[in-house]
Amino acid sequence: MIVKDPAALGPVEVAIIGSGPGGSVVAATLAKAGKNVLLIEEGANLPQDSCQPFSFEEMKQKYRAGGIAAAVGRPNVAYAEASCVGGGSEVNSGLYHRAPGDVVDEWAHEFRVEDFSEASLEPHFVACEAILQPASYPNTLPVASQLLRKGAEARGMASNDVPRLVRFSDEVDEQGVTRSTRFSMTESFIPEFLAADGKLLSDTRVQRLRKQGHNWQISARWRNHKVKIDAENIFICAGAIHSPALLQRSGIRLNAGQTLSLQPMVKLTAEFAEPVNYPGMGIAGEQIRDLNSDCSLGCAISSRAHLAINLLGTDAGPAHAVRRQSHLISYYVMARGCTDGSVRALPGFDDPLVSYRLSQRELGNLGRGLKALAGVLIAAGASCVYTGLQKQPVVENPGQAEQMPDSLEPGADSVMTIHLMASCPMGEARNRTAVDSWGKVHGQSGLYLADVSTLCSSPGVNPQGTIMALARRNSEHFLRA
Amino acid sequence: MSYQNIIIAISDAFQCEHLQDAGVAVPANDTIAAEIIGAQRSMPDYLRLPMYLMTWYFDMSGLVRSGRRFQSLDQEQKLGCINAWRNSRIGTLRSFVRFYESLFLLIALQEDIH
Ligand SMILES: Cc1cc2nc3c(=O)[nH]c(=O)nc-3n(C[C@H](O)[C@H](O)[C@H](O)COP(=O)(O)OP(=O)(O)OC[C@H]3O[C@@H](n4cnc5c(N)ncnc54)[C@H](O)[C@@H]3O)c2cc1C
Repeated sequence: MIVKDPAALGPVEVAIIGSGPGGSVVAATLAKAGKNVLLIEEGANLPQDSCQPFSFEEMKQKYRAGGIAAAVGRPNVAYAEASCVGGGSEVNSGLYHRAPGDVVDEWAHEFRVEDFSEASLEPHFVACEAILQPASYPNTLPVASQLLRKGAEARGMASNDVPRLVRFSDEVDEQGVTRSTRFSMTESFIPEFLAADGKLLSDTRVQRLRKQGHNWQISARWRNHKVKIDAENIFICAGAIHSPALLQRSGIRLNAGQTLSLQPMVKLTAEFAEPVNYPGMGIAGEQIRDLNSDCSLGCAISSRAHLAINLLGTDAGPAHAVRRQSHLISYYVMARGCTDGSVRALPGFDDPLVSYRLSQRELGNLGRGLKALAGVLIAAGASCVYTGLQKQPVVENPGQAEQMPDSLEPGADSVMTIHLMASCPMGEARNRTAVDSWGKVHGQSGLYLADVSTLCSSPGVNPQGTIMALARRNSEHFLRA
Repeated sequence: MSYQNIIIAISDAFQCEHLQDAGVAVPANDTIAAEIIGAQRSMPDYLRLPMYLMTWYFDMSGLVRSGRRFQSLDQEQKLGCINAWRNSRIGTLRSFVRFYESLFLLIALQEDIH
């Protein structure tokens, strides 16, 4: 049921705050188990096709702050988060990974996460995958992917088409690539939640939580009205920035927001003699795992506007993106990321202050990753690669790629991220975790977290798959308890 | 002398610098400026206020360099002001230019996003 008037809501058994992949999976799991569940979302409830994917209009409709935010540091790191029913799944590329086994073991060991192994997570991954069915391109890969693969093969590196959370259609584009549409939360878990009698309240921002007797009282703003909602239990699933901020606003501070991690990204643009880019080229999910730099190398959105932005600071300049768009493709380097950031709710301000300090290790990894990527693209036949680096702005041959600096300058202006995490890590190591092994906030009854903030550190791969598996694991534990 | 005039002037400068000879039709500068101001309004509040203040300060910086506010300078002088901040040793000034450049391009070239 879509809630039209929250004032008419009675107390609920479980309120879930935030409807991204974490919140949607918890909501569907608990509603299907017969719980009386209310899912509260700050953003609007919009269908997947309310705008063109990856457009400026999408940023205005579905991103928080129109997609313009920055973690303060040297350099500042631009970041983007979604704010709509379905959260990040409504705007992302749906690249799907499970957390790697060594990362799972590291979390279990260092953060003392109970009953946490690849084997114990397996049923949760399998259950989410059964609904979402991550899939690779059925036949021809987008040209951007083909080129990355060709370069990787020439350089002896492994590259693969990462499965994505999409539905492939029967149509192919002009290059024979099968068209696809996102299979986001509003297409999957949220309809399941609603079918199981769940209640969805959108356009409602939760301001703070207060324990009153056995229940929690939620103070929220729905459109321009203040509302209060009572809940026996609360799952906070508001994402890496807003989950710790909400805890802090509610006076709960233990290890909340002190260990923000992000996966920093930088982009470069390759130019090819022959046309390689065309309107409607699908999302290219090809990725290389570069062990030397601990980075993933992949294909970025290559629309005219994005190419122009990526060419800022290069001799070619943004106009080149207009003139040579069909010959240009952007690629990214994404590093694993440390936990050197923080989220601080500021009194009197709506938004928390986010800061992040890029470490020497991250700068080094990004530098080596860029170097590897430039080498791959030259090997793939690029006539030149625009790096945006001061020291080696254009690379035209393997020798020049080798001469690229081994580390990014600390003042680099173009570092960004779409992967923020680990701001309220889970585990029994109380000195460094905000929630226990099952997402229960330390020292609080009836208050849980189940989203990207509970990852112990960056998994080094796209996180949505891991978030959903953890959300299901925490929900099942809650039901058993 | 409104805030909007400063944004129109910034947008105009970027259009001349980046897209004048590119042979591309872009929305009118006041349309782009309205979109930029709309985007600024939704920025996190700890960035919004400093951004407003810096934008005014940037406008005033024209006085020091060329005797007039940025919005009243000719194109060459405007570019001089932009380049001074773009190549500054201070990261915040470089980020300021990058922010406006990126937003300008995103809006100006959005028509056929694919
Ligand atoms: C452009 C982009 C591309 C990406 N690509 C990929 C990809 O290919 N693969 C991948 O695995 N990951 C990708 N990601 C990351 C992935 O989308 C996120 O890690 C994931 O969505 C996080 O899930 P979550 O449930 O923890 O939080 P979110 O998805 O961020 O959802 C949190 C929700 O809570 C709401 N909220 C916040 N505060 C409040 C409040 N106070 N009251 C009410 N509601 C609130 C927000 O509006 C939001 O909708 C991408 C992200 C972006 C932005």
